[in-house]
Amino acid sequence: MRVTFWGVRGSFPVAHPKVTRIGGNTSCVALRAEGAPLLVIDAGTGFRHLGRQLRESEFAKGKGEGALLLSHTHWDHIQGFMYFEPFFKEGNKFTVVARGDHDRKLKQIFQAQTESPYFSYGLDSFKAELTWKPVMEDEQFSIGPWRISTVRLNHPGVALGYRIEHGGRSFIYMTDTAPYTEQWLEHGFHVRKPEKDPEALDRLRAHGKKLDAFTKGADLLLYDTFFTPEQYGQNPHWGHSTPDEGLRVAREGGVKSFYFFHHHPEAWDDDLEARVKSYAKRFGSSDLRIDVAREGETIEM
Amino acid sequence: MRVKFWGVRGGLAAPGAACADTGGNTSCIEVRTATGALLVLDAGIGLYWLGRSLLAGAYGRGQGEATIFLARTHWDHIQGLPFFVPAFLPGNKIHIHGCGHAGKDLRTILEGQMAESYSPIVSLKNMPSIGNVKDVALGQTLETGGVSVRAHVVNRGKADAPSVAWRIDEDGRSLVYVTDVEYDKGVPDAETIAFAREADLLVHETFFTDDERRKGEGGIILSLPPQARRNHATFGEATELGLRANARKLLCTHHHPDRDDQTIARAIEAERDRVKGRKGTLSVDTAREGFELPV
Ligand SMILES: [Zn+2]
Ligand SMILES: [Zn+2]
Ligand SMILES: [Zn+2]
Repeated sequence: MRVTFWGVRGSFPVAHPKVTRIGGNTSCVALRAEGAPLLVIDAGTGFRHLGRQLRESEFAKGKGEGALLLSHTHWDHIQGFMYFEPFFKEGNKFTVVARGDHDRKLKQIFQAQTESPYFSYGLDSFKAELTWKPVMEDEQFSIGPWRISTVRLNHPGVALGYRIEHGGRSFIYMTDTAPYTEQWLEHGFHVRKPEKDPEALDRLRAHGKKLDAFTKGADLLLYDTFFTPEQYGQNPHWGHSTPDEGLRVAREGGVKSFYFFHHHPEAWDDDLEARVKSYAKRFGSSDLRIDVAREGETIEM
Repeated sequence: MRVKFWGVRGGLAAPGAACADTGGNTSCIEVRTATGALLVLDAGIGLYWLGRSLLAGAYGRGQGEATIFLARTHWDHIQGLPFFVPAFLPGNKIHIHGCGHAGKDLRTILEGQMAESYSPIVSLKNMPSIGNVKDVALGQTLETGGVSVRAHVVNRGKADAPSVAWRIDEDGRSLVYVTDVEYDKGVPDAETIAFAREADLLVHETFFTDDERRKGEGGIILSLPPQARRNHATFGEATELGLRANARKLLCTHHHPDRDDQTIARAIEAERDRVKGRKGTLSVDTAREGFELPV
């Protein structure tokens, strides 16, 4: 499979001269494989640029098929949704997958953030055929030849991690998530309140333990490295993680390569590149490659 | 007063080198009155960077006050709000003025923005320093920070959320901000001309080029639905308003995310020629992020 990074930033798109090498668009990753439908994960501002690139493809003729998997519907993961060209071409078919228990509710989340008073056109302006597919954690399903499984991440509003397998290769998308150590994050507004109750801490650990099996033997783990350990210490309730925790998960699962992703808006190119280099030097090996997701880059797996 | 641009894009942000000279953040303008009061026009992503710049001063200590005037509740005009750090620091007072729509007041619309599905903020109540959230009283003048602020609804009567043009007058000097406007047949209407009359600085959106409008193109991309091709003005229409209102200076903003620096520079040149052709004195340029000027 071929993985292309169209957006690698977290929180909001960053138009700043100090991020032009690694990129400022919000989360969007595309997976392609011979004979398989296009698979996209998250629809941040990078999603718009992916759509433009597809002008030369079967999607321009209205013969494209694809699926969009959403980690969750926080704005930085859906803000490109209304700007994806293939949605406006009749004949294209898409499945939109996100955490939920009902397809109508899922559609409603998108409907409510488009149209007036937030936007100038709605889902009814799409010409492509969209199917809404709600999924939950610990599920397995297929999109064409892609084998996909889900895991629950530790994030306000709850996010899903995806493991995607094809042709003997496996790719894991894991953002947004906090480590499963201090706070259990789900619904409502979270303030900083490290868990003290031993039972709650056990539940956290049990959920965190699921990641070991989920990541087992994966070729690539794309992980939420939004925070430095210092920043995380101040904000365990934000639902974001560190390279240290990500690398721990990677080692437990025997993952072959680890990519920094969902970069902090103020992770400047120079600093982030230096940080990745330092982690690679300290923790990288012939068994575990460490790198950073850069916008526009494609990885052949 | 002094004016500084923090966001000059419309629709979606435009990260990357091609737009870096003009800037890629969605709408946000800082206005400092002579008394030092802070007024903000629009809360696009530029608001994050403005907020960051304020933390070294009174706002970092929870002693700051600001009033945000929203041109519209479309995402590109409000998406910086949940990232405006001063609104989370207790003691600051951040007021918001704007226009409700279809039976929803401004607070309800902003609450919808923070809803759990879209944001970890969940509710406006979790931003402790948000003060008054007020629906615009049309035809009224708000006196604040030694200036008077007036609102004028453009795109009146359309199905979409209304856009509000803002005018700030201070001691004989005036700033007029007009964005997300569609003029019938591309000709500015008499009311808007009267509203912008004799402005020292007119900041006007230029989402489309005149070519795009003529060819019936535009929108983010050519294949977008017809709704996406409306609701916005062109470079030529902005100049037209400046000329007819006898404004001194026009700064173009709310640029299309695909409009790179060179294309904007060419469009500005064409507008300067248009002004010359009309024997006008209006000065024309693009707004640039980080650019600061006195009015
Ligand atoms: Zn995110
Ligand atoms: Zn999130
Ligand atoms: Zn706008």
